[in-house]
Amino acid sequence: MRQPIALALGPMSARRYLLLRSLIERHGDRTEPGWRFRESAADAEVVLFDPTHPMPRDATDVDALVLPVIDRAQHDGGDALALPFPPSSADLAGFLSGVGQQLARGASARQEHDTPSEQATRLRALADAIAGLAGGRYTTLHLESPDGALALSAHDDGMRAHGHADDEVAALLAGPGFLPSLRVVARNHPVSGTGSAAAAQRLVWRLAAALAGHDILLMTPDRALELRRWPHPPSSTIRSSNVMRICSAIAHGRPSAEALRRNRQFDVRDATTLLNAGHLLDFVRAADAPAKSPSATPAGAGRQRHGTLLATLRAAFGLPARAPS
Amino acid sequence: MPITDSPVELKVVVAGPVGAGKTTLVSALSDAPPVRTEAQRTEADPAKPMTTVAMDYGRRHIDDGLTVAFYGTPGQERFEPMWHILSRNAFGVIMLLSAEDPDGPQALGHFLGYYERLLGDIPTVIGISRVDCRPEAFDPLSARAGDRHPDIPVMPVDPRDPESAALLVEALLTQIDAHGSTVLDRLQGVSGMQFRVT
Repeated sequence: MRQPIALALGPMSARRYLLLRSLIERHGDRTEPGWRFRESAADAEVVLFDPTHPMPRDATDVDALVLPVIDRAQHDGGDALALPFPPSSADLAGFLSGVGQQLARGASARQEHDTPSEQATRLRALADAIAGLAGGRYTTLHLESPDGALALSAHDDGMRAHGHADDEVAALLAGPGFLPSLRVVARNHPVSGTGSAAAAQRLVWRLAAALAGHDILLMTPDRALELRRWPHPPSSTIRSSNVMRICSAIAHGRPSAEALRRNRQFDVRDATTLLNAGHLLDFVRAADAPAKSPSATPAGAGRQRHGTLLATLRAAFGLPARAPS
Repeated sequence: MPITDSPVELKVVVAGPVGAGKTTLVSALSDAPPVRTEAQRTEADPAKPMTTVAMDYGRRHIDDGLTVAFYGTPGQERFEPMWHILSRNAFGVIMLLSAEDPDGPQALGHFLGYYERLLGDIPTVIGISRVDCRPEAFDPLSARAGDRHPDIPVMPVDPRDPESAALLVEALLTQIDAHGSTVLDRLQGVSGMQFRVT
């Protein structure tokens, strides 16, 4: 008999939280396998979240199945992995049963196939296909995984995702097994609808972060980088202040990717994520020439002259302090 | 705290077209209700019946004798002389555009021309509001700015949210971290003023 499944709730209104917690605690013993409520997402195998509330960065990093709670009026009855709110007893029982089966399937699939290097290989293949779309080699990509399918199309103003609403794409991407299991099933086939630029960007940034998690850098490490435009990453993928600092470092210094990853001002994983997304979305390019040695001008000249005042200003505006050079 | 005989005000100019959210942004960045000078618009626009006709003024108290002041300037081109006056000795410039504004690219081009003529040494950031309403508008605006000045940060901003608004200030401070500030140099040099923060 399987152990009870641990479930936690992500950010949501107090009313939703209390009602869902009470229902799960009441129904947890009536299903097989059973369910146990956990306070922390880090202790859970399943996390329910409200797509209208931003997920904290640490909540998106947990190795759990993350599923949405959707207003009943917007809930598609065919989606067994989204819980309508408010849920009836039958809704909850059906949802928990479906999630239990999903976890069982995922566990057996992982046992059979998932090693980190295989995941990395599949993520790399997906990135290559998306780079082909961005680079004009394909007009569309149709992608499928056991959890769902979607399509991407290329346009003058960027990529669009088709087949799901934005919050559904967010929910799919939050599942840890979704991206590695996503494979290209067709290229250049027609897509339906106008698509969503936000959903496509969310997918690319999540892929960029997943690649960074395997320490995969999509760009040539020693070439000078060029920032072509400033990006707009989803806030759950990378901290905004780090985006600014990394992009500033590229715009002003034209460092190599490797030099940027060694910069102690920001996390190497954030830098790698941004460079991977920059490669796929074409907002960062690597020049043909190798990067020059760092300039003789000391970096952080302003910080040397006005460091204490700048720190005071940051504190007054509630901004995080900068790490020492 | 700064040791000065007179209060020091670091001036940040908030510019941009009508309806971009300048007044809201000044309010979000200030720690007291800002002074607003709004009046009924002569052009009919039910979505924005009031507009700024002179300027908004808000400020954030930093320490004894030191404040950061935010001057929201009128968006209409006929008020450009005031814009010109305000940007003198500015600590930073925030250009605000709405992703929903069909004339946004034109306003951005106008601003970049102004930047090239007058603002080269002043830390500058471009904030794009209402990106959630029209996310596909962000990249083309950012690319247009990046074609001419990739060093100017272009960021989405929710002017109603103080945390989001503060990231525009961080963008200015990041530039000062790297390159210094002629305004701070002048303040420290001219008066012999020293900033000492305890």
